[in-house]
Amino acid sequence: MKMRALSLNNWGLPFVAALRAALSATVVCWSLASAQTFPVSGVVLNAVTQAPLSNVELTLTQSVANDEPGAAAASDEQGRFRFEPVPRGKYYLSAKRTGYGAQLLNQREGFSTLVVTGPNVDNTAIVFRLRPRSGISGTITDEDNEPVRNAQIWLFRKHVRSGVAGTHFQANSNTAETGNFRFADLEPGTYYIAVTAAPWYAQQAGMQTRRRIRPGGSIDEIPDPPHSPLEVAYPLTWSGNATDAASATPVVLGAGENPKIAISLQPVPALRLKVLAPPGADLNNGRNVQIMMEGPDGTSMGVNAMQSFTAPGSLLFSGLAPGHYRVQSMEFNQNVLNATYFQNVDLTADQTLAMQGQPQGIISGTVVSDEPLAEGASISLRAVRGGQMFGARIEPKTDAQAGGNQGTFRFEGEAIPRGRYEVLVPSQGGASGSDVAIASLAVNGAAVSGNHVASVSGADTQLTVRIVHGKLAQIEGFVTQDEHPTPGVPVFLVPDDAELRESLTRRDLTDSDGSFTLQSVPPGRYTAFAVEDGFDLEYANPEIVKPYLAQGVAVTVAPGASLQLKLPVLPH
Amino acid sequence: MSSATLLLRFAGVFGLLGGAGMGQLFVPSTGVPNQPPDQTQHLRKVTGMVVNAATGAGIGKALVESPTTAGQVSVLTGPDGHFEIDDVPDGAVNLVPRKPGYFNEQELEQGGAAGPRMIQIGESTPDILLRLFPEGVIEGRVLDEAGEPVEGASLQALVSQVREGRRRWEPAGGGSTDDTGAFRLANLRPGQYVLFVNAGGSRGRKPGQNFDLVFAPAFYPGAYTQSEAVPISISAGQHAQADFSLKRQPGYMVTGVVTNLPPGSGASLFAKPAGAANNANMVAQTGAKPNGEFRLGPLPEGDYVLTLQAQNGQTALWQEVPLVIGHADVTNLQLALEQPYEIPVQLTVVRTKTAGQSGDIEFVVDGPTSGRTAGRHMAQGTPLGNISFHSEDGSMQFVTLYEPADQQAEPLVVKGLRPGTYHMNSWGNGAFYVESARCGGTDLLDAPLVLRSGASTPPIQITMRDDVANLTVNCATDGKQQSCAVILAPAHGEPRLFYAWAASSAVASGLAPGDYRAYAFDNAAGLEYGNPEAMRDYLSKGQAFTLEPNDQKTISVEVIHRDAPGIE
Repeated sequence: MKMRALSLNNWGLPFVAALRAALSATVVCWSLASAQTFPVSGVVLNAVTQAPLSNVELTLTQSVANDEPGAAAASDEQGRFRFEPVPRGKYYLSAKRTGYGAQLLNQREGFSTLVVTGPNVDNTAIVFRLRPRSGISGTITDEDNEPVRNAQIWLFRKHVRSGVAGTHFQANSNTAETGNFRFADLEPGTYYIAVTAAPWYAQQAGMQTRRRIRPGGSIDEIPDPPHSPLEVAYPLTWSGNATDAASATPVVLGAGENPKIAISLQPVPALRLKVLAPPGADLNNGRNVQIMMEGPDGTSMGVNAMQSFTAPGSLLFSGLAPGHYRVQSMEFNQNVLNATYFQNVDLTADQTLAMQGQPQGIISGTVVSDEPLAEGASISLRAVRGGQMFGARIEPKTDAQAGGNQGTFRFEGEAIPRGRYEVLVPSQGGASGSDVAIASLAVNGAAVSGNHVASVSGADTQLTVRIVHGKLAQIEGFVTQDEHPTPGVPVFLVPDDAELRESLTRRDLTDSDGSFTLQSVPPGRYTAFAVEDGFDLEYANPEIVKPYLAQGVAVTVAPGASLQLKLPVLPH
Repeated sequence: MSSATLLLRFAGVFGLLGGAGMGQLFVPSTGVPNQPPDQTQHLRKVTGMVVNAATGAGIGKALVESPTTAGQVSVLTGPDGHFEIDDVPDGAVNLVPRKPGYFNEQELEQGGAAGPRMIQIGESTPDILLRLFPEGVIEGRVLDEAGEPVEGASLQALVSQVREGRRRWEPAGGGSTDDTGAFRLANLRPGQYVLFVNAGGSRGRKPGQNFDLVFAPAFYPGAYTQSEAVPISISAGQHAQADFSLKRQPGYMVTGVVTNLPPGSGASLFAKPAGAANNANMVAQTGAKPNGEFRLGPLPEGDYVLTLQAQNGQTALWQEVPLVIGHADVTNLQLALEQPYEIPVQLTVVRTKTAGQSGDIEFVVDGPTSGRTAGRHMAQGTPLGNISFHSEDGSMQFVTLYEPADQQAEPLVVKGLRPGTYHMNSWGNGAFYVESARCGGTDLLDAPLVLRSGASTPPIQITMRDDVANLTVNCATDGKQQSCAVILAPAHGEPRLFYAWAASSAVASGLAPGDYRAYAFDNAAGLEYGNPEAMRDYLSKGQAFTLEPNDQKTISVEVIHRDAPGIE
């Protein structure tokens, strides 16, 4: 049909793109449902060897949770399986077998292919490629080759996440009493392991530091005790026993592989960092000071340090290994965040750090909604770079004029560094606000173009967010190749605004009939495309996504729209 | 852990602290542990060994902590387990060894039943031997009927533990199987363990089947009930192997509706085998929607106990019903949440000593049920003591007995009790004692409180008096005074445990007048002093005596020597 082509031209897109869109975008008509049942069958193969797999337990459950028990089947010696015919619908198909773990059909990066049953859809030749289980396990030992229990293990993966290539935090875990750890069910790829721990026998200065409180409340500082031989720390240690990330040994994981690594922690003399409050401030009262390391991807990694107050305005961190740290100080007045300070420090010896500079501003604001705000609604900020999230609760205004449609918020739980942040519209009572969109956004009274991103400077920031309900769009469609529906193909809907591509891009994986659904799409201008084996597409990288944008279907999403598209498969 | 259980446990801690703070705990007359060292005392170099209690071998790189003139000092043992600490002051000190994978004697006895190990430092102090007990481990595999590993099976260990003189099964950690079906439960203290596995199953019905396939839960080695389980005995450092072979069998769903739900909230439901003594052995759980509908399972054929819980403000609503799973789904089950029992407490305070020594004063406040309930006023009232009710599954309800400050005070009530059997403990605050405690015809100092579903329960009547007695106990072996654990067993009421540390006397205050029997032990680790049967062997070694009102009595008791702690 041509209706979408006319719309595209109205959006002012280049003619070539509009023509391409006109040729490929169609409205898909659903046929009426019937009471028929439809067969589902196929074969299970080892994803690595392509050999048939027998004794695989398969389950078919409806994609809409309805508490109904699923249908079960098992593969035979040739890997073949068959379910009793099922009613029309969308189903998750899962399979599990010893050594393989439970997997969904075509499962990858949180997506899977649903089995869609109905007329004109053939689900009798499903090929379920079951990946042999992959994981990384290892042992952490100390300088005496004894196991280190309760060490924290950080797993990073070098891959594309949210359209950005990099080394991203994947998971963390703790060692058992044997010093062993295991990350199971990992996708093949390149990983790095980091370990943070403190020697179990370490004695830190803070254990002995005491304040002397005089009558009347004044506090004397007792001189820091000398370093004890047991005042030691383990540096952050990476796979390959490296103490810097650049020297870490990558763990390359193939399908079905389960490498074991060993990391040995070596103690070094622990250092002390004395943090002094900014002039006029008191570190002891109404202030929360934290020290952390920053891992790849901006991951905040906890530090095994002891914290003790030594005198007014003075705070001692002990048990630190040499390294780069980030100190964050938050000042409260009657439980209300007053100011925050950040400071980085390269610790090579005992050091005193005077927190200085201008405090970070406070971010607060008002939400104006077209409907009454739900109790427990909250608003979030997401760093445009790195994706760090901050949340604040919306307190509904109680005056009659507001009528329950207005609320105020103030980000107080964590200090928010300067930078550019996407404003995420309220989620209701902790659940994702799937039907809420931002109608307008203003920063300190000035409207923000694009309605989504606000800059946070050192000064106080006042946000005004107008939200509307029921204005998010849903886009459905089919991916075809040579006019045949193509299952298992990643589909992307990428916003024109390059700054928002990490968060506003919507993705899906086509189902067994080649269909896809992109939900909760805020109004705006986008391009849709499908890429064969495109899981690791760096869609947030302007250079890499450029050719796909040129071949994709341009879409202007109106508030609350429900669109249908037909997309060709583009090569990766 | 449910919020209701959390509250109970918090109350338990508060109860212990409250009891200890009320003066009825024995304290040593000398040698209070961890006091700052006296500068005028002689300073010694202390030497010793840290050894593995199971093998006797020295333990290298163990940490020994000790008070010195420079404060608390920590040293590591050498490769042979030897250690030296300079400048340790004369007197009683508490030397504590530590190392991952080992328990020291204090850690071995959860709840501190063994008390601190005070060592007398002086001119003739020999090399000190400190023992560490290696942790026990239970490991094994869970396989299915085809010998294939069962992944993600949940393991729960229960340990037979003596707490406050009574032996009971308590959760002792758990874990789950990995992709090879293997599990490992470490950090286990010596004792008797029961192991429970629940592997669940997957929902999915094949053509023509009216059931799902699930693994039946089992106690080691494959028993359905805890009474049929084979306990696993773990000694210090022992690694035990416990493998399970589970079979899939038909499992059935349970659906129904919960009524009496608080508006807008759901309920949680969980099922445990009818023979399981502990809630840690749940085999299935789910939540009821705000409209009351629930779906639980699948569960294999068998007898279960189904428990419902919901929170209505501060009140924990509850229900427990038997559930029988046969060969079909259980549908349309109607369950009603019930309010917990609330039993009023009528407190009568008898004063024989007042500021003016004016004689007996009876102090009674009107209550809601009988007109004679004592008042409770957190801000103004004075705590005279407390009572606690312990159920056989380990839960506890606790009430502080406040002297009412005014007639408008909140009434005293024992809340949150469910049908079951409860043992009552009572403490005075040192100046008062509980003379009597009754509930209808039951003397709660001698017999448990039994609450039956649907039956009404009369108020609990407590009488407290202030003509307390004080007692000093000297413990000795062959005439030589030594530290000991004292069990004081009244003719009526629960026995109590007290300590005399570092060759000192033990002093108890605030005791009720009456007949007692005192026992002195070199250690009380694992001693079931609350079980008359377990104490029968020691009956002839205890010393009987009588405390009169306002008595100040001193007795000497010969110490009974038991085996090393932790080796039960």
